[in-house]
Amino acid sequence: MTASAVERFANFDDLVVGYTSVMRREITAASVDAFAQLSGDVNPLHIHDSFAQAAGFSGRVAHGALQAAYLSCLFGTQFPGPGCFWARQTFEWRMPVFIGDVIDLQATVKHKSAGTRTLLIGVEARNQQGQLVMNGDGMVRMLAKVAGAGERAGERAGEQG
Amino acid sequence: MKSPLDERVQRIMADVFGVPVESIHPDSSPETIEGWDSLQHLNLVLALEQEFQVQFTPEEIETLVSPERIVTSVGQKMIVMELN
Repeated sequence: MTASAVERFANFDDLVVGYTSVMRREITAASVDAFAQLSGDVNPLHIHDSFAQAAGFSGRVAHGALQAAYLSCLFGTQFPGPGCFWARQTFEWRMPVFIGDVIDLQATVKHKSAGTRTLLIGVEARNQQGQLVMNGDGMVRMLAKVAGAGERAGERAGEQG
Repeated sequence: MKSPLDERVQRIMADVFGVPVESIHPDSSPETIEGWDSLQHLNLVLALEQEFQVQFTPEEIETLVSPERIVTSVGQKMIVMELN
């Protein structure tokens, strides 16, 4: 870990109720296949068009948890960003998501608790047609930078490098 | 006789801890309510803040360990809010 990475802790003070962040992701066959391999969820509903069609869908259905993975990316890298700890999340998957769909994941601060450094976040995902495909509520805790930790990490990196 | 504030706090605590409202007594505490651990204490604080539109300081959070203390703390904050 470099010193610059440690300094990039998200600033809790900058986050206010109503703050919204959006991340867009295209659902590709490669991403679905990779998630199936990573998670071990090779349910043919996600893998084979023929199986999905036999179940009444137009084609392979992307894992709902793939949206969760993208939400993890949103929380961890964009909003709130580095230093946050994803503590709780609910999901309601309202519509199937298919290969080729483009999903907008939106996270909005519903409540900010300064004393606990915690955010309650409302989450929605909509497809390219604006249809709600997922919604839920999450709780994210904002870790605080430990004084001196960055310098120690930088020193260790220097020793190894 | 319980005040409306007592009843609101009692209901919130019952919801958070997943216990019957009747099991929440004025002196209930983390020692008497199973599952009242640090995570549930966080959930309780968040629920109280949202319900009453207040914020607790870290020092105040440590004191919210019984319905009686919660009612006192919330009541004081609501008085300050009304005065402002």
